[in-house]
Amino acid sequence: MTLDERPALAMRGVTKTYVDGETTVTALADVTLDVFAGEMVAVMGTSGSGKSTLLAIAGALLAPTDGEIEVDGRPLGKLSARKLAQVRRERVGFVFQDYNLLPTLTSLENVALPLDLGGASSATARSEARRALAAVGLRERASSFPDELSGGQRQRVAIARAIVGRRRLLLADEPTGALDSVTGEAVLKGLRERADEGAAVVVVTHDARHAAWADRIVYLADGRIVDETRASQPESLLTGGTL
Amino acid sequence: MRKPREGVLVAALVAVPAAAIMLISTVMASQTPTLDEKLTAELGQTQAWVRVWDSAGNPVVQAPTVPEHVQSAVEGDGALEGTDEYTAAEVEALLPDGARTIDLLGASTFLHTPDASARATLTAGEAWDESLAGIYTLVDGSVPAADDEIMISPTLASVAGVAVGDAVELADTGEYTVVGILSPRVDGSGTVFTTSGAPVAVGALGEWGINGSMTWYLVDTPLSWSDVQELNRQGLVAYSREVVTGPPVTGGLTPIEQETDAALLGAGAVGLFAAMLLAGAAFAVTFRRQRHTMAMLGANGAHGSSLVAVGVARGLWLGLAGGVVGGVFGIALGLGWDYVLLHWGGAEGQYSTWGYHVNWSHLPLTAAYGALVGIVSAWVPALAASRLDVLGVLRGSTRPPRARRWTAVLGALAVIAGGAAMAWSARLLDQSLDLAGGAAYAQRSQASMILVAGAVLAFGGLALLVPVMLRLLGRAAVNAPLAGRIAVRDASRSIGRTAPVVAAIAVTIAISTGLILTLDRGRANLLDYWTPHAPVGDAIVELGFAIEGTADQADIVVAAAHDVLPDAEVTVFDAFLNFNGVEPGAVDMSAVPFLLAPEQNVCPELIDPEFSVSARERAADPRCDSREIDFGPWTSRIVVGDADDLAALAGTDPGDAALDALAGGGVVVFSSSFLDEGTVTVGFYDVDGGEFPDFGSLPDESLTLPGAFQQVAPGTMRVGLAMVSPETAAEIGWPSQPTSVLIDADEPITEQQQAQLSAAARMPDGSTPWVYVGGGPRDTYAAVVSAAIMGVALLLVFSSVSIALGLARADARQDDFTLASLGASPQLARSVAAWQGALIVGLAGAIGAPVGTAWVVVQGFSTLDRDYVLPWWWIVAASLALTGVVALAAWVFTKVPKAVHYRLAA
Ligand SMILES: Nc1ncnc2c1ncn2[C@@H]1O[C@H](COP(=O)(O)OP(=O)(O)O)[C@@H](O)[C@H]1O
Ligand SMILES: [Mg+2]
Repeated sequence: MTLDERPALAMRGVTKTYVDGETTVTALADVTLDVFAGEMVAVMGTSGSGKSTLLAIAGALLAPTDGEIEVDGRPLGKLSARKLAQVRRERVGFVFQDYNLLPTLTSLENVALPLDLGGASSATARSEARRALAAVGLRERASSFPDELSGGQRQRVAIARAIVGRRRLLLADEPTGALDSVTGEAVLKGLRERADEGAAVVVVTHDARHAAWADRIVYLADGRIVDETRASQPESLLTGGTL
Repeated sequence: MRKPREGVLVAALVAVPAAAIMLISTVMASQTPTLDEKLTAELGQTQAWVRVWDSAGNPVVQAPTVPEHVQSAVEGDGALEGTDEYTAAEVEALLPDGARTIDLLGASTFLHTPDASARATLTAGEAWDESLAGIYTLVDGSVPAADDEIMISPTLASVAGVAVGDAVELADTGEYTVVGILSPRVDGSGTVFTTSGAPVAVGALGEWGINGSMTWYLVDTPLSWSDVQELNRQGLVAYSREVVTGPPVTGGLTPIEQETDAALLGAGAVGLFAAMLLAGAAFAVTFRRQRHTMAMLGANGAHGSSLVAVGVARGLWLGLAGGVVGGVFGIALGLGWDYVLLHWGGAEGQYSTWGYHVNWSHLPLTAAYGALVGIVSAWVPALAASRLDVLGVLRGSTRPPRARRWTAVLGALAVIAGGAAMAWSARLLDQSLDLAGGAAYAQRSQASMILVAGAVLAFGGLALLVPVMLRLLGRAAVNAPLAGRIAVRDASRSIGRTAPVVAAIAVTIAISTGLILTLDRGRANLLDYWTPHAPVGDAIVELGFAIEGTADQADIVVAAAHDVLPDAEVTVFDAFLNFNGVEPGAVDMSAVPFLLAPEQNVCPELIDPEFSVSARERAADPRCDSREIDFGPWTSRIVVGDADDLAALAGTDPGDAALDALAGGGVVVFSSSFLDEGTVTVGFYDVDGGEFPDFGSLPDESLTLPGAFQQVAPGTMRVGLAMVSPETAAEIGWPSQPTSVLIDADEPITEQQQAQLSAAARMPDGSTPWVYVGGGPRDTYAAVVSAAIMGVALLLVFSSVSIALGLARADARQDDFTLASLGASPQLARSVAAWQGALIVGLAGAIGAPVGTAWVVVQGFSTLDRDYVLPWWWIVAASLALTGVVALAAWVFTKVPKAVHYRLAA
């Protein structure tokens, strides 16, 4: 595994405070984190510790109150809303706990969405989407609608959507939360494969077994990184896993 | 209820048509007087009025309460001998002994000031008497104390610019002083009130005599029904307070029942139907949102029917609330409209509004109807929700129920059956043209009923096909832009909210297309048959009948025209003296020339009123062309002039045959019915009695001259039906003289110029010639009504679309977040809304426009006048424009979230 010089995701001193009427909540406090291509990072922490906020900021969905974020070496701080949308479209892939597939589009169309939105020709978009679906093992369900799929299948479609094209930063927020443990393992394995293919993956999870797929585990408490462990033998873990 | 917004929406959807219904109801109620208002308007404080119906005193029968509804009695001798007509004294002798009466005489006059000449109604008599209060209202000044004092109505005061104290002149009689303003309840062009002794009144009796122009009010003597019947036997009619308010009477004519207003019922039905569809859509969305709750309830043992009951009860209350609130609002609008008419509506307003009338009995009906709409529109979605797949919902499946095949099959069958019925109706209508009289009428009404059924069936079928169409569109949309694809798929998934809105808009489009095309066809036909009295924007001035001096009159009018409109081209037409207006004894009337159509050239209808042929036979007969029939089988209206005049009358370059006939001592006729194998016959009749000769009666003497037919260009005015040269006129030997002056202005003549022309053309004897300015056919009516229909239709379309889009947007919140997370531009939501709007309206147009158009096409088979070409391009362009405008509006009005507040996975 070769690690890129430049991190795919770099967060420097990121702080986020939500102001809700009279109360202010500091969801993230001075978080610094680098994630490199080919690396899979698991984020763990209790509910409300700021995991989702961290991912949203990393994925240019949310602006930090303070600090800097670079995606593929590109600082997000001064980008316009339009440019931020472009970053989300071209560089970041999101996987959510509740899938967030468009119910009106087929699997293939859902996967092709980021390319469609980027203005790719529909032939290109579709062939790339087909490839991404094949990569998650759902080639046969290309023309099914989301409500014709099981939860695990839906999440695999969501992953295919997150990896379609040439996107190198994958952000997954509790992707297994709604799935049984066997299906959950399969999803994590899928994410691991993306990392091995050279993507930078950040996955939020509650489950230590799932976190074991990662190269690194980052622990959040009250918006701060309180601990960080590096898996000593990720390859051995992988080979000793469910395969 | 957790979501009050849908509740308000449903109530509002019911309230809008309810308001419309009560608005129409109130406006119509205000157009109908109450008994008291009617009595006051007819009688003031008096007991009865009496008028002459049959001036020869022949017996008549009247409807007891509607003296305008009268028939001649079959048997009985006239009260008067021979051809004598009633004198005022003779009528008064028939009234109850010793009754105090007020006699009012009606006539017409001109009021002149140094600057203006205004035509006015003249009322002579004590109109200001206190017992007539209510018919006439004293506004200002005092009542006339002498015969040279008059009152005028407010309208006339403003038209002529006259105030109390001013001196004015009345036609033919001299100077009067205006001492007061008296307002009649209805005052068209203005009224002058004189005493009965004023010279103008004495002279004004004119050609009608007292028949129809004199009213006797019985101040305090009641008239019983037997009194009225006795007066009927003398040819008089009466409106009696005692009869109208009194006990039932027997005998007399049955008054014609007033028809229930079909327009009101139709508007109400369509409005309620549309409301039902739209409210149904709103309910569908509510129920979809509540599916989860419902499923929970179901899983915990709630029964399906209890869920329906909850939905229906909610629909009942919302519909009831909407009906009552809308109804009250409609009443308020109606009363406001009355106020506007009464205070700013001028004479027209006084004609159409009696006061603030509300038909309260319609309010509970409207509310009940609203409740019905609520129940029905809640029923179907509630039923669907109660049958939902509990497990599926709880598992998170949001799969829409599969479109059922039988709806598609049923829809297709209904479209085919409806189309067939409409075609059948067209065939029946076409065949009815081969039938005569009652049989034709019966077939037509049968065909109309089939047409209605066919249109409704076809429409319903198309509406049932909406899900299928959407599904096909969804499949076809694979290559459409993303926004379009999302819009189509969403519409097809959410059929519960899409289909009702599409149907509601389609109904609106079908009805407005049908109405507007019908109006347009009417306008086109009117133009085909339009024969103007004067060209549009030009003036024609008819000169008097006097034998002497019409040449001088023509000179005065020509000078006035040059004065007021220096650039206008002025033509004076000469014609044979019109014997009808000549003073008795002034000319020898024993040999008046008439041009007679040979009997074989005359439409049989004109000779035999019982004659009845089929429409097709009639149309095949050029003699029965309505443009010709209007002029009758004989004429004495023969223009005398040269080739230039001929060109002006033909509206085109005259043909050689006509020019030859004119030059060669012949007669040019503008209606071929006067021509008999190249000749025309001038018959001389003795019309000393002032009567036209009976058709077919042989002339005392006749003259056969060569004749030629000249086609008149459509839309050309008709000064006469035939034309001869001055030499031929001299040979025929009847005096000719200037009769009409045509003032051909560069710019359309304005009302002010018309008044100036009237004043400038005053004759030395003080009379004023009537200046008629051609206004063209009144196709402004079609334009105004079409614009109103379009406005209402647009309002309905836009409100329906905005409801549909609002519901769709509310459904799409989660998808918006997903798309944003994938880097979609926030504008995508706008594009989706635009596509959705376009889809809904486009689909509705594709259903509604063909149905509306087919309706008009089928109706077209009921006449032989099939020249009307449907404005296809307009229909297509209007549908596309509407679709485009809706899409644009949807794009503009869809809110783009500036700072997206993303809901993160918890
Ligand atoms: N939109 C928001 N407005 C206000 N407070 C928020 C918002 N989103 C999250 N928070 C708060 O920020 C903190 C971190 O939330 P989150 O990032 O969702 O945590 P996690 O995903 O670890 O459960 C929590 O206390 C949460 O209540
Ligand atoms: Mg979270």
